[in-house]
Amino acid sequence: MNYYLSLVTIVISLHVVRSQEVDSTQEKHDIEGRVLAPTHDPSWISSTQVYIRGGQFIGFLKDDGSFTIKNVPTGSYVLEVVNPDYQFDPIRVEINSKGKFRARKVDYIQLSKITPLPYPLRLKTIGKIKYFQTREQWRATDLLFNPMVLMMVAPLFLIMILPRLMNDPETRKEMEQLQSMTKLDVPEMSEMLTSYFGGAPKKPKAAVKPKPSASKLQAGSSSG
Amino acid sequence: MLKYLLLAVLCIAQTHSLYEDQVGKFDWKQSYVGKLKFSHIDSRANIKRIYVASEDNAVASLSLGSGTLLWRQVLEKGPQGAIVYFHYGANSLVTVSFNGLIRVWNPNDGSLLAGWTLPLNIRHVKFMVDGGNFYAIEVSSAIKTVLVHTYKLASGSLNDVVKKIPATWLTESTYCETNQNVLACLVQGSVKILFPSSGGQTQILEQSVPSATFLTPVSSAIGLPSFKAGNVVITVNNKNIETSQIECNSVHVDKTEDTNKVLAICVRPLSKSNIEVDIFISQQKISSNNLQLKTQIAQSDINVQSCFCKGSSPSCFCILSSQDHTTLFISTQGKVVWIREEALTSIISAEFLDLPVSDVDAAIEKEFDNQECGYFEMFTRRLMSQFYQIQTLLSIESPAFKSSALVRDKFGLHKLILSVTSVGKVFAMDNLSGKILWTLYLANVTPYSVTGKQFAPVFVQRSTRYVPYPAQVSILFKQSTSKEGVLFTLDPITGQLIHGDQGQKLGYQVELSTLLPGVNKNHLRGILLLDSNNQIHLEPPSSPVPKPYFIYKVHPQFGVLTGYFVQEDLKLQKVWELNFGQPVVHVASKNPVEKVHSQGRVLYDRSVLYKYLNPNLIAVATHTPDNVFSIHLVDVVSGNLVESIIHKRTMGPFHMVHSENWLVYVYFNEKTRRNEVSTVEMFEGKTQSNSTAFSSLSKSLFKPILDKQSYILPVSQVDAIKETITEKGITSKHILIALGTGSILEMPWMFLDPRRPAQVTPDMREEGQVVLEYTPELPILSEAIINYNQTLYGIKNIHTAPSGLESTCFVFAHGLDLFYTRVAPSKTFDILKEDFDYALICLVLGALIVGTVVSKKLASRKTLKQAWK
Repeated sequence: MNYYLSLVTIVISLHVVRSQEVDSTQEKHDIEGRVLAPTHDPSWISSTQVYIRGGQFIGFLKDDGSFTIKNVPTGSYVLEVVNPDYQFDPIRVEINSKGKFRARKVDYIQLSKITPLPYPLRLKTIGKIKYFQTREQWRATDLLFNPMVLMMVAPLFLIMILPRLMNDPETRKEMEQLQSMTKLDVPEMSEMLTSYFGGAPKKPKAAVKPKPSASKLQAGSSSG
Repeated sequence: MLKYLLLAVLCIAQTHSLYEDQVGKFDWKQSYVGKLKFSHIDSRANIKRIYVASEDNAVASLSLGSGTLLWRQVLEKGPQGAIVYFHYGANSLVTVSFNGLIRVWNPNDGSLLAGWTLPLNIRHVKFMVDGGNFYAIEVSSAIKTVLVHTYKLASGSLNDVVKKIPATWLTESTYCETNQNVLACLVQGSVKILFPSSGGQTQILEQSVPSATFLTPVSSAIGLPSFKAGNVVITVNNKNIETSQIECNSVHVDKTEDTNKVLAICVRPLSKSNIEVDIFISQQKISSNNLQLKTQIAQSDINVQSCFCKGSSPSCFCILSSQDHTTLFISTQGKVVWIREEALTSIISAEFLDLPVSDVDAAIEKEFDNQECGYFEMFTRRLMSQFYQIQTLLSIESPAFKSSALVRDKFGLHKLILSVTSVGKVFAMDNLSGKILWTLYLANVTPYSVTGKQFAPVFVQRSTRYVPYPAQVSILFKQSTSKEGVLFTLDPITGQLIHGDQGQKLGYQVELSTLLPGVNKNHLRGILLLDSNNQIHLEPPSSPVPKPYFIYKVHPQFGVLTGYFVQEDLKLQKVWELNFGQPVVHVASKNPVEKVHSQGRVLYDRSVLYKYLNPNLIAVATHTPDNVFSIHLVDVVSGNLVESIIHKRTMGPFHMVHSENWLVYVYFNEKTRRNEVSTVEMFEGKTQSNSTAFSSLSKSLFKPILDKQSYILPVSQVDAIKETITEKGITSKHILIALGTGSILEMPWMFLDPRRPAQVTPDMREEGQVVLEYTPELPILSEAIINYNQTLYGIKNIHTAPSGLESTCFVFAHGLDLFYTRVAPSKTFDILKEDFDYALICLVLGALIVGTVVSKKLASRKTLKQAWK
């Protein structure tokens, strides 16, 4: 039995305001610092902001890269530099009730670990943000190991190199040995193969023997 | 170290990021500022620009010619960042925010020149900028004085002693406004004009306006500060008062270049797409122009933001802002230069809709749609459709090609985005280009709102699939005055309203609305509406209701959930009630279009763990004032509380995604001061109770096995989360997380999987399954940011929808910026890679053919030679 359910399209979501909401009675402080220029292009200044709590408090940059985040109540904050192209490490800034500032590295795992940083803050980029995968460059090895190229090279190898190898007496011996082994292993299959390919294995022998008539006969049969 | 390295390698393998040359290929971004609050046209500079400040706390510069955004700075969110004063002059832009911050911007690039805090309570202060000074004017009726505080604009240092202007006429009801360097106060039928910035004895001018009940500053040229009191426009021209009586709600005051006469520009909307612009000189109408708009605007009122005029027979350009948040730039000669649809910053609902098939395909469909006709008729239809096909092949000017812009493509990648905004404006956009196809303004409506979040339900009643019938979408709003429901039914392709401009007035307040699963004979899905008396209404009234049918209702403020059974006679029967006693902050149900492909999960020992796929399961989140956050999993048919999870010392914002057999939610852990993600996955066990259909009632006591896990999300703020969705549900799921810093992060479900083992044993790896070891912190990879360096301000929500390709999912994020892209969580396995080397495959095939022919020739020659030896 199928039970239907109304899928009520009411989506309820509430941004519960954090309890440390701006309180007019609380002491307010200004966080100061400077973002060191990540590039020589001056347009980075207007595209960079310093955020606390995802934009609840914002510090905009002046020409020299300095910023002041105004009217921040006492508490602990994670300060982020937002720039579309350059990455900066976030910094945790703590303001105590006496108005003293302390800056340290953000460590979400080891909460008790404190790596102090200088205050007023000096923020330096840790590098350009890499958003994109790099396209694979054309390389000779890529072409060589391309399955299609392999497909072309392998028959070429079989056609051109293998007959030459066969002329070498040692390899020929090895091949014969291999063949005899396969004969032992699967006699029926080899029988079938020999009957199918006719006198093919005898072909090199015939070539060694200076008997033109026999070779003619062999060649005729194989090509036919 | 090795572990992390391995993780990093896996991450790279898992995230399918863009190549640099794919920028803008699948995505687009549109930047907006929001409804205009203040603006200024700088016509004197070499590069003509417009400076604006908006209701969404943005300060921006627009190009005069095209209206494109040159730079934009977004101030603090919410009412704290609201811009209360804006001034442009002497190469600086001044804004005053509600939180008391005065900022001076460089108009060229939007960098900050100065910023300081006003040491006054901003609520009772008016502002003025004159020269290099900033004046804060306190009008105090208690001490009958106007106090003028003067600050240096560049530093914020107090310039002078506080100037006191005695004003014995001040009363409690006195209302004052500033415009340029003038303060005007409305006192019992007369307007007093003061010049707080001028030195020495302050002169007070007076103008009697007996009928005036309000006073507003009016857009005016520099040196002509003007106010509107009642229907009288008061202009202060060189310390003289000039008045003019113009019957117009919105005016701009300027002067003619040669004769120095005061002229007034009046703009009034005539209809939804027509405005009239009149110019008055000495109260005489000298010109009147009618402007045709390509969009629909609110007919009620339009506001002239600012203008600039030139020439002796005045030709003016004005920025207008209408009630529906549209910004228009017009010339008084009767030309609309550009239109910015700023209402798009207030989207509350969005839907991806299919486009219709092309005319040729429609003809083929028509051929088969009617089963009753005879053989002969079917044969003639076949001939006709084939003739039509030939015709389209031969001629380019056929109707099929004309409408080709809005036609469904082979892979279902071309769709229409229907967006509904809180101001009542509806937009249809092309998903590939982002172009607005049509707009619709619905007057006198307000959206519904639950726990502070606005929404307007959108029901796709019929898609474009049923060819002779057009697609049909209904949007539910409530009337601004009576709060009763209004249903707007429209064809989403053309934007034509079916029941007229006023919509279908329902005559009752809608408590709950839902789309029914069954269709009527016209392939139309019905809408079930529940009014405040628990009466069920169906729209259209004859819609079939499936049996049995259950609905549930949430009372967020009391934390009460009620389940009902819909009886044969459409009466409601209460089945169950759950009382959490805590306010509900979020309800997450599954996406109704979601399909789950795999019923279970193969473990490394080759056994199958079956998923608990209950379509009736919802997740309800409650939050108490003492910061206890609870998640309840409720089966809404039986009322069975499947599980409750409690997190103590947590704070919002909360976000939740419920899909397949899992739940993901984000919260802020107050104790550890970090954002955390928790995931819950539900399984039936090693056996499946019923493999064909899930029933909530047959096993009401059944409890699924729950796997839970929490991870640290090393970001400061999350604005929205959403899961990807694909057509058949074969593709793996990713979670899209909108970060407070303006990025959208694509997080594979694999990282959030609650079954990530503490230690990966070799036999887990042997089975060829990718198993990640548990790490507390989730990786934030820049390659997984789908909007790359295009920062999106204030993302409100993300919408996802399946495309015609199983691998691909559409993403549409909106806030102050709109962003659309498509993602392929398992990579695009069903289409060839775009960098597929067609040349190489042709080359190889060609070479192989040539090789075969040549070698055949060579071989026959060789055998011939050997035969002759």
